[in-house]
Amino acid sequence: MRFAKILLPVLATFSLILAQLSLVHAEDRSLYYGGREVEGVSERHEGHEGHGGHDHSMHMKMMQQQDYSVNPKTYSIPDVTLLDANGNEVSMAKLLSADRPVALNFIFTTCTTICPVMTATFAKMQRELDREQLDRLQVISISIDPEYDRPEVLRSYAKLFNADESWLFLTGRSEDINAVMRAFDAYAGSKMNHQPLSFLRKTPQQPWLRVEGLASGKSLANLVDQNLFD
Amino acid sequence: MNNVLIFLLILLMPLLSSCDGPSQEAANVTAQSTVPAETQTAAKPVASPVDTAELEIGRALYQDGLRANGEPLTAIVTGDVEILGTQFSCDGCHGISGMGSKEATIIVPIIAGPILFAPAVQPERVAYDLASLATVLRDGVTPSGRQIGHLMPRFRLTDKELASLAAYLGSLSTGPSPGVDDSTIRFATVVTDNSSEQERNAVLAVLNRFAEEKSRQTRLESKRWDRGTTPESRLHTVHRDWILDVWELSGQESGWGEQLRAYYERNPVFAIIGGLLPESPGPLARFCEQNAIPCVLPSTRNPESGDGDLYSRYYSRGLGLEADLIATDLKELQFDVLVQVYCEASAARAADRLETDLTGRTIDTRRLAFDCDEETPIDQLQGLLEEPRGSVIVYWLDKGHLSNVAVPSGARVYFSSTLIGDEIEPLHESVSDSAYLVHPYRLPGTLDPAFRRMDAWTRTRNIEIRYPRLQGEAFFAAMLMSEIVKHLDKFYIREYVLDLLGHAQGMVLYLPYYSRPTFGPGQIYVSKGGYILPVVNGKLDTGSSDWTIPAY
Repeated sequence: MRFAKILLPVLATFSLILAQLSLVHAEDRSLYYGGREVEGVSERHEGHEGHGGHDHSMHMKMMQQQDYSVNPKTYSIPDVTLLDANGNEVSMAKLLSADRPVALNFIFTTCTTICPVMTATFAKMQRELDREQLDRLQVISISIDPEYDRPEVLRSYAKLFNADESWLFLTGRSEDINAVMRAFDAYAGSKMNHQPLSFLRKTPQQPWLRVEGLASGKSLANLVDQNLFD
Repeated sequence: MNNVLIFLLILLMPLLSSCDGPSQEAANVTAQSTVPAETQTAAKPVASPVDTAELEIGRALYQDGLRANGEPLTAIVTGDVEILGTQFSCDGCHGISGMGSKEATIIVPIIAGPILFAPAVQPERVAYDLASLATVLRDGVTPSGRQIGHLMPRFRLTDKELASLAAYLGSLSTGPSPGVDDSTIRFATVVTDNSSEQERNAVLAVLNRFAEEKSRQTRLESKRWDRGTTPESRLHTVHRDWILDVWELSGQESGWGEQLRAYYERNPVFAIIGGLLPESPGPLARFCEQNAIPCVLPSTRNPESGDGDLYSRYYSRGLGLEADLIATDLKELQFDVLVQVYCEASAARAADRLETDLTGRTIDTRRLAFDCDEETPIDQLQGLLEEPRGSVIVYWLDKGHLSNVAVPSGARVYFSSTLIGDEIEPLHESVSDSAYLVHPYRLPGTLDPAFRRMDAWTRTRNIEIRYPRLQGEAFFAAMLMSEIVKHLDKFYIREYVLDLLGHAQGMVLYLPYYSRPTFGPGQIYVSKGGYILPVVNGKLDTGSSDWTIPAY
């Protein structure tokens, strides 16, 4: 009995933690499947465990599947003035009020893990679009390390990724960038907590699609094609 | 009743734990093996005999993403995105050290040879060999048949490239680097004799005390009962006593390299913390590159970093940054004459830089250089300023040398905050309406919580703060290193220090005096900009200046 008295709280705590974990996971799912009106979302790949075996066709298939979620969100973006890679001022309000579809992400040039992938993914997405879509879609990458990523730094970064001329790389004052990040619910306190997020929007009147996770270039292009163009 | 509950809980547990979320994936990808402390020291690179040419091919693949023919490596990432090695190389995620990294939810595993090519225990994994390395790099499939995360590129590598890369990975060590043994970690701080003795003492008081306290805080970990039953599960000793050597450099700058080598040969150190090299850290920076020693945040006015340098970090670009701030301020301004006044070598270099920044403009550039032991030669200065209207004067001078200089009305005058030091105000009583302080630091008069923290630390230890900026720099350098060492865990590797410095963004909260500091992989300077503050009747106007990051 004495043994049980000691063991019980331990077990109870343990199972509570486990229950928490499974709850989080459940929310995670509903979040994902909750994106009803969103089209073109490939099926979420539920982890790689349990597939087993060494079937390479299975692996190839899995490579195509991605862990990401898509949710419509309404954001109110502050009217701050940022700088493009040529050092020209860009008003966020003006940029986002233009009647054209937008794809936007947050990067920083010395980020080594997800940013190069996100940038390459945007580039791939652009290549997947047809000419008319490419011309219409405003692609924007905002640096979250504006102290380091000055316009000239962004210029060489854009070049490294062969970014299309129309692709805007933006920097600015830290306060302004943080305000924009907060508006997109993308502020993580430190750039080292940078999450892979992409934001898609058809017109200024419509909500944003928040893409969490690393989608493939094709998946992003599909999302753009099916949600941002008629 | 209790028994029933326990029974229920036990029943439930497998059910609950089977709901493995995405975290399971991350945990498995990490596959960090537990290397017992004893074998760490013995861990030797797998690739032997070492073929330096092959290692260089492997290094270029790993660090630069370039093949032997100079073409970038190609790969596929997140399923369908083509990337080039120049956009995305191995060291980006896995670090120069091969010790892996974390960014938000992504955990990148350790791939240094002694771990990669050995079986892992927690979780279990067989040792990688050339064949399984090929499979995981090309197809993303581990020896157990698991598909690894799609952030890891699937590389197109030839067999020969794979062999070179494997040899390079084998050459990455799990430590410890020189300067570390089972109970101590040795650091040095470097001071030059062209700093004032009072400054040296003030800075060393902070550093010595910090090191002494680190050693006093031994938590007797190594003496704890039963540190695991198997070698694999035994805890490694986290704590090591700090030894801080003070390396004093004297005489001509050209002799410093030799002196540094002599100190190092006597007692190799793991890293160099802080220090006082007001005029030039150049010889130290070169020494650190040659010996692969992290040189973390010395106090200096004239930081130097060569192309491709890896090992030195500085607070800011110092006087060079000030020169660039002045050039930025002068961009839209028409003027005919630039007069720069200085006595120190570091200031001469800043003057050079400002002239370079202004290249292409028709400006009559004049200079007045004098011996720092003398007073500022006013007569000569007046000779240079026949017609102050339309001239810009930069006083690259400390407070003592400023006391007798004139501020002619009609001229635009700049003062250097770095050279003036801590007591800025009152700056210059007779100052005209266009005098400015170039200030690459936090705005004077604004709350500096990090300084308060340091102030409390020093006061409770009876350390007098006589040079707040220099002592603040020393304190932060030591604290940063202490934090990094904690994160090294059991891997005392100098390159891992560099990798962790790139991710030390969270530490900026503790940096006094500097504004908008950021750390980032490969970033050499912590603070990147500054203010140009108008001086009105000897007082600074802090309300009208914008933070500027010069584009030079």
